[in-house]
Amino acid sequence: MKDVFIQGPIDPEMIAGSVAAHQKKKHIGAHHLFLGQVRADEMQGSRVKAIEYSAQKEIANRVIHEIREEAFERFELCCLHVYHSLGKVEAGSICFFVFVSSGHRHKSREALGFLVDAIKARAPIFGKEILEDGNHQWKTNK
Amino acid sequence: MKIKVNYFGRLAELAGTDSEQIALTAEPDSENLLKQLEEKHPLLKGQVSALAINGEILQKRIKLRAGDEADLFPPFAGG
Repeated sequence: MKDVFIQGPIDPEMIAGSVAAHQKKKHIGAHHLFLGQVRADEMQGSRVKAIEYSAQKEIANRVIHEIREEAFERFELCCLHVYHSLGKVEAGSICFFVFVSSGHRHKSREALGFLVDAIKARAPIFGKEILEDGNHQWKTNK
Repeated sequence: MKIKVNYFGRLAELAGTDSEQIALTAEPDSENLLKQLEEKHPLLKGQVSALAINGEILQKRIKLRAGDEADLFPPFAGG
């Protein structure tokens, strides 16, 4: 089973490289990418400086594997990649990367929405929001 | 009968530890484990959103055996 976790932020160069690597797959007609970025939310009179991610990796990897299988069954996809950060990611950096490719745009667009929502809802991943004033609070998904 | 309990995210702060061994005092099942943990760490009350035993997230009450490992989760917050 694939380990989706990357220590620290996801490098934009890696994302560009991932797109370039698909240029030789000429049956693909559409890519959809989701890039989650750490937002400097204002809270408690301070601002989010970074998020420190943790996870139950074994379960999270298995759940994401199952979600991938579901996506391949439901949508006509050529390929599909998921990466998520662990550890500290500064505001403005990328923490979540989902990359879906299909013959046509409708399928990849639908699949991307399904994947992002399902991973957020079903994978045991947690985020500690570190504030500029040294306090912290725990991230909740809306 | 002892089992290992791991606390994730905010729950580790509320319990004051990442992990501990618990000797079960009642009938060994998942509901009684949660009850016992909430009695030991009252701040956990109402904060546990999912429980996994040996790497499987539970959908219903199950019996526990010596050596089982429990993971307690707050609401998931990936992305």
